[in-house]
Amino acid sequence: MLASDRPGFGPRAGKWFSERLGLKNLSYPIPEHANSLGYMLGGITLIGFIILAITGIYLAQFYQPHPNEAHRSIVYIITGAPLGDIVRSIHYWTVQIVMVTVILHMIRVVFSGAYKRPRELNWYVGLALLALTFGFIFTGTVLKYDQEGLEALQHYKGAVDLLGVFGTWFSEGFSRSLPLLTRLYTAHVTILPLAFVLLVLVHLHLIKVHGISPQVVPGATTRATAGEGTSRFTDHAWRLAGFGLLLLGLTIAISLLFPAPIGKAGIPGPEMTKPWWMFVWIVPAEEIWGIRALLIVPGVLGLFLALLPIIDRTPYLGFNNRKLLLGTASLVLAIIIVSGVVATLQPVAAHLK
Amino acid sequence: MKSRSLIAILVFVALVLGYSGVALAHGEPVITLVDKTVKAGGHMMITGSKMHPGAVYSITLESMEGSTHLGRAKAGKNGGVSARVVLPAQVAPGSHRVRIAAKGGKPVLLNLNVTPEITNKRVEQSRTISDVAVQVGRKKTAAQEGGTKSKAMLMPKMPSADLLRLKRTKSPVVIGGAVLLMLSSLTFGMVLVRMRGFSEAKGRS
Repeated sequence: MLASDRPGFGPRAGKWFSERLGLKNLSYPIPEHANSLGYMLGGITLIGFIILAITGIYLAQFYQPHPNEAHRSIVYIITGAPLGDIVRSIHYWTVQIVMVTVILHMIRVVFSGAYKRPRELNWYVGLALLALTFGFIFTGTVLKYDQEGLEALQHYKGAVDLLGVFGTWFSEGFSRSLPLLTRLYTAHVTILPLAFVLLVLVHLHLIKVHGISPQVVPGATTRATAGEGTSRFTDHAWRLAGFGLLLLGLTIAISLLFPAPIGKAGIPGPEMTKPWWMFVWIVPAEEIWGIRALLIVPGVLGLFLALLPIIDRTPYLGFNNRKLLLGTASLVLAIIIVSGVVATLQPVAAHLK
Repeated sequence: MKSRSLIAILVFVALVLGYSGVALAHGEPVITLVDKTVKAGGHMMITGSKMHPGAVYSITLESMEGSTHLGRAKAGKNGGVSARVVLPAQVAPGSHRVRIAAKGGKPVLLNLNVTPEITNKRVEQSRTISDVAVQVGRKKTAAQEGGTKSKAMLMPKMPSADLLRLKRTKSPVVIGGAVLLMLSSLTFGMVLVRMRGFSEAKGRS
């Protein structure tokens, strides 16, 4: 063999890794529509979570999860810790973007009927991941321990009290040795991530088993698509990596222009703040039912979403065949949006006794 | 084959050197704080042994708010030291670290808990520190106090939805690095998103 015939270092390294990691097996066929943005929202969300995990690990080196120190340590992260402000801002803005992609992903799944047979179980795994995402955001809000964080914690305590004996594990009185804030921090950095990783693995496995849901065209019916398609998963993964880099670039840009805010240290008293936009739509219900709304509204909405694969059992994916269900889903979505707008515009009201 | 052997030898040497660089505990100074909890404005005792005789140690308070030089201590001929240093009254209550280091030596870091300068025991018993914001006022003079001792000034603060206005200065290196990472992420991201049929093109070539 002539020296000039020998491939360069890059191709040789690629071949070395491909042979040992079995990367060729990733080049399985997938439908072309899987590469459209609407069908990549779940993957983009996953990359967002990877960014959150990396930035979160960094922030954990400086954060002090004790009520007396938490807010002070956040101020230190912003003003003193190396790269603290920019990393915290990336963490903050990635949360906002990830929440948008999660919501859009779920809307896409509902409207394209991707919860139908044989993907019902993956729909429930997705709902559990949605619940965990809200859990991450809620605990993360409390960790700031500014006025907003403290009021979120007070709402949490009120909701846990309503759960009675079922809320024992989550209650402040369950542990005398650790403050509730420290336990919520543990949930944020260990319990929730562990559950999240396990569920994501199941989610990805089931997508691999059933394939991506068929494209919604007139007359389309639900079926497994594994092994079908003209595109390759490796192409999909490269494109996803591209969207991930765009997400990272976008969050850095926003972080530089608008650093993540922090309120003044939380002080118990009359409510002064409103929750983040992903929770604020519950506030009008709180005006009616008080703190019970924190259990009633997510419970009813969760039940509606859980019942979708049971109610909508026809194989048809087209909008014309699912008018009633999609109309109801649209109505629910509209109510949430209107509630959110109303809650944002109205003055802060106390819901805690 | 030769190159692989060379790499293996280099890795082995690096591991041996890395291991030998680990500092062992034998013969290191043993420095302790007599009290782990000290009031702001109060004093703390530092004792040490197995220190380098005659070495001057710098004592610094490391806080989230910054570093404060507290003083120096000189080790005796027997390698022992005992120093009494005063904490500034304005040190924030909470966790801090005391850094003790000789010039060019490996520093020793000790955890210190600082409590508010003056406390009112009765109020402390009924309210935890998270329930009330403790605003420690300046000590009044004896004349102002009417000859009595200074007392704690506990003023509950009101909740506020206001955001903190902090000094968020970033070095040009940090801003430059962030901009570089942002631009490279956006550029490569755009390239990858627009690139279609990567594996097919690769297969054809």
